Amino acid sequence: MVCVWFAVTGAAWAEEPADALTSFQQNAAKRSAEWSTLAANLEQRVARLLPCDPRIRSAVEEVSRASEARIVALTTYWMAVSGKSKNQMDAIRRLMTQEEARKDEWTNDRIEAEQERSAVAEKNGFLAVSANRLPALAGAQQALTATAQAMRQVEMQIQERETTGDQFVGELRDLLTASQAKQSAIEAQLKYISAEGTRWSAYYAARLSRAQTECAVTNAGPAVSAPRSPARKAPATTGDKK
Amino acid sequence: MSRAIGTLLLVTAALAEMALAQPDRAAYRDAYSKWRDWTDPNLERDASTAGATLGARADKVAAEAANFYSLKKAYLEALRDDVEQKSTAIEAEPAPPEFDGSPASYAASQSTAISAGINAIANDPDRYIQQLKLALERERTALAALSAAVNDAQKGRDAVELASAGVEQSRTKLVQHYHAVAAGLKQTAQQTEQVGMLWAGYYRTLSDGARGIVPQQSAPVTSSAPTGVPGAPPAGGPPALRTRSITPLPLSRYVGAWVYPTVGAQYHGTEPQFADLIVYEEDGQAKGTLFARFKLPQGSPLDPTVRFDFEGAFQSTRNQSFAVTTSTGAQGTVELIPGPAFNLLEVTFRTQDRPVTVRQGNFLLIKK
Repeated sequence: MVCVWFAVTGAAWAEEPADALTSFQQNAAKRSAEWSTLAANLEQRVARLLPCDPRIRSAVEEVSRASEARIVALTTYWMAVSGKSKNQMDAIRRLMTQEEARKDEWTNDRIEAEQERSAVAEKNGFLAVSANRLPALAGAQQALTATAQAMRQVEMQIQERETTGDQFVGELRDLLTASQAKQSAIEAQLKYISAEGTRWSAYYAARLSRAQTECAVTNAGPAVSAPRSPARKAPATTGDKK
Repeated sequence: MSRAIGTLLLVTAALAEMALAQPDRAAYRDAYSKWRDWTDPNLERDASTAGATLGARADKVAAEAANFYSLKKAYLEALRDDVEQKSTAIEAEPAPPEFDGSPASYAASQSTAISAGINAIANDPDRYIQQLKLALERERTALAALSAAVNDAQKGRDAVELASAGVEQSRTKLVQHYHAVAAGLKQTAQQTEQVGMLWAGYYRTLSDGARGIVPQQSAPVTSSAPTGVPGAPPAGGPPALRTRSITPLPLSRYVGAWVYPTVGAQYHGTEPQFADLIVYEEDGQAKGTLFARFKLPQGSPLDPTVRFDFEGAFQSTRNQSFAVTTSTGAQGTVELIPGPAFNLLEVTFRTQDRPVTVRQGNFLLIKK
């Protein structure tokens, strides 16, 4: 199992990290397809063999190994999905921290804009006094008024951004909550895959045990030995159907 | 495993970190302080008494204002880029695929076959056959446990898919918000640049006003030629009113390159698809060219393109009217009407061109 594990990850190792998840996904799909083909044909293959034909054990063990490879590939894929999801949550948290800070920045922007408006109003006041003394400054007054109006437009946009600053944090919080739910589902899935792997191993052990029993019954020999792990080599049973 | 997955995660995290650095606003804040607090806070107060000396002071302040608005615009653009980048910091994660193999149906079919085998030998008293029955029952038990595990895994995958959809929904909403804020920042950056230009114009006008030069929108026309010595300090009372422009509004309200805006366009009659107007001034004479294309109903026999030249003397009126000669030699008139803002110009034209052409139009242009 460990060998298969490293074989799977080793293939993806040489690739760019961005492609690793895709590679794990492709490997899981490939291993699933391989197991599916072997599993579907198993009973048909062994049905044509005599009960004590060693090829029965080989066939069962082959499917069992394919099943393990499938589970390893699925586990690898889901671990990568989990890791990516965790990274995503970290990125969301960082964004939340930054958007929290940016809320203050938006507020500062608004305060700056108000200060600028107030400074312009003050300039306008001084200019009005000067324009009373020097009518030629009326043009400057108009220009300053037009400038103040344009600044007001900018200020309105700044105010709008300040209002939406809270929304950013809220939206990020929603995204984090959704991501946490997804992460929980991924972690549960990893447990399910692990449990499924254990169950498949148990099933193939039982299948092998039945094959041994069939051989023993056919030979009418002594009691059948305990089933061995399908991944390990067991001595081939001998004898033909009578 | 975990080197490959580990590398994947580290690189992703590093990229995310890089993407999340924020632009610094210290530069423009510093520039603002210089402009407002240190440069010349008494400029407006002294405007009526400083005369020509105000020009140099105004120039200095204007330079600081220009620096501030340039830095502020750069900051806003950097901020917009930053916000756009943040919109990509949270990548879309596709829902997990359904891997081939159908283990559930395989387990079910095996279970059925095993049960049938058990039933077939259930009543056989042979002790070896009973051993086989026991083996089959163990296999069936293993299959039952397996079926439950396979179902759990399938439900688990479905739960991840459902949760992924929720994440994607929230992510899409967030990304759209980031894009909207980025668009708003772009607009603010553009308007900030315009405000900077308005300040430059203001300081110019203030400097002129201090020397007694009046742009005509604020005072009646007294003469089309300047009087006195420009830049001379006022002696005694207020300086005499003078004007620099032939037209009551500055020539810049007519002269220059103008285009039909793609956003916020205004027109009457046939809608332009685009319009380009260039107006030159030389010795009080206007020369210009209009090239426009109009949106016509499908199947309309009219030629949507209009191109004509015009020329004539600028008048001391707000609206300027000139004789037109179209590309086909037809005659007409064009009127240039200063818009509600310094950078807007309304154009109205009428020609006596062939009936297959657009012969009149009215729209608002924005200065290029």
